[in-house]
Amino acid sequence: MSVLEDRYRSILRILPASYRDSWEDDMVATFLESVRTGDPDEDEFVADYGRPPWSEVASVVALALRLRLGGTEAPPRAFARGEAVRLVALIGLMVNAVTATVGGGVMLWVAGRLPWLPSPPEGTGLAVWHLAGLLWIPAFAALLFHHRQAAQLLALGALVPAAVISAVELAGGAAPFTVATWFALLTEVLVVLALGAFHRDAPPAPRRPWLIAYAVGVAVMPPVVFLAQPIGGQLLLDWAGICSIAAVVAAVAYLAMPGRRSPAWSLALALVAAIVLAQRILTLLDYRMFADGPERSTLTVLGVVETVAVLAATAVLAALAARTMRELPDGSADAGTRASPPGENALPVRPVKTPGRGGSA
Amino acid sequence: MTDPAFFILTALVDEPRHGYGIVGEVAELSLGRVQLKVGTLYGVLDRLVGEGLVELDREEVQQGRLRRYYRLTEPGYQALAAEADRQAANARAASQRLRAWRPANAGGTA
Repeated sequence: MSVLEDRYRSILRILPASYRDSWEDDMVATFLESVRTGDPDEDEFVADYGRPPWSEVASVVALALRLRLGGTEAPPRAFARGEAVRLVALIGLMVNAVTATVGGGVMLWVAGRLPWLPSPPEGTGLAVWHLAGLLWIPAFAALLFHHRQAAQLLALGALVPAAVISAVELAGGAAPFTVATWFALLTEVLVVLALGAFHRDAPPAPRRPWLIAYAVGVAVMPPVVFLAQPIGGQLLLDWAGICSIAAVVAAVAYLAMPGRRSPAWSLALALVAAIVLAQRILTLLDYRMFADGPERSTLTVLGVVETVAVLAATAVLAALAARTMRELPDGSADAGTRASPPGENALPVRPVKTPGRGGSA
Repeated sequence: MTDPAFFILTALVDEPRHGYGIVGEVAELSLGRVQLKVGTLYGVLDRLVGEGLVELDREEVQQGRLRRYYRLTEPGYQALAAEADRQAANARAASQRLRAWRPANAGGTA
């Protein structure tokens, strides 16, 4: 096996095993033919040192996404997995859009454009990345109005400036390193990646319920953020705490409605709860670095309580998701038409020995 | 029906072809507009086989490698014919509108 073939086969490993059983050898043969130049020396060089072009790698990645995070025509388990990741993307996108909307309101307030509100306190900064962060709003809208590629680009446009500015601030010493900041960036990266589950075969997101959820979020967030301000000089609730409470409330509400559960929602909520749990645990480090005295002890105790609550919610949701996903058919039984080798009765074979024209027409 | 699916079915009308043969034929049929990548080709092929529009014709060994040839099924011919009719009707409608529009735009009587 040439180095090039080995490299191409290693890329194909991202495809599901059942699919590879059926198509891998054929894909490799077609790929190797496609890179052949006709010049024996050059072909030998490419075989020994060549790498699959990025366009070929991208096409395999796109295929793996479609197969693993299934669309409407995928087997039930792959479809549920795809729906779960799409729900995670929608939840993340909605939270970012709500935060951006409320953040935009704060910007107008700071700029004095909302004269009916009392003036903001002195020294409230206007960070540039808030402007880029506003792109989460059209990204969310684009997805709900079925422009998935525009949504992906806009989300990337919101993420990249935030990442660059955070890195510059950290490198220049303008901002201290906080786990909270970097975890927020990580979750934005996860949202952008999860948007990849909205591929060509994915069903569109239902617009109305997500718009209602967005409106509720915009209405609820300002009072929640207000409550999270330091009380008597002491901070009791940070962003990770708000997310923890929201995750636990969502989990309890979901578990209380057995009739409305689905494997995809169970898995999506389990994934979101796991992300919130990681955020809660890791941001406890910020307390150790930046809080002091009684505030540190209070925040740590509250943080541990939140951690335990989110851990319990994650465990219950994960168990429910694992059980219900296992019960779904994974499609391997009927993969004969889609994903098993022709030699094993997958594709109906009519032996035609003569090369060239087959008598199919 | 997507462009790649349409051209892959078209490439298989006259004779069974193997993967790389389909790639070349599709590029030629589309005047170079559709350059199928291997991941794209086998994603579409998998679906067309699943829908019963394409099936395996035969396997041959060439230079030590197994080559699979694919052919259209009867439902495949019907689906392609229906899609070709649909696209032709669309093109006719657009052409008629364009013919009616040109004189008006040129300052004629509309």
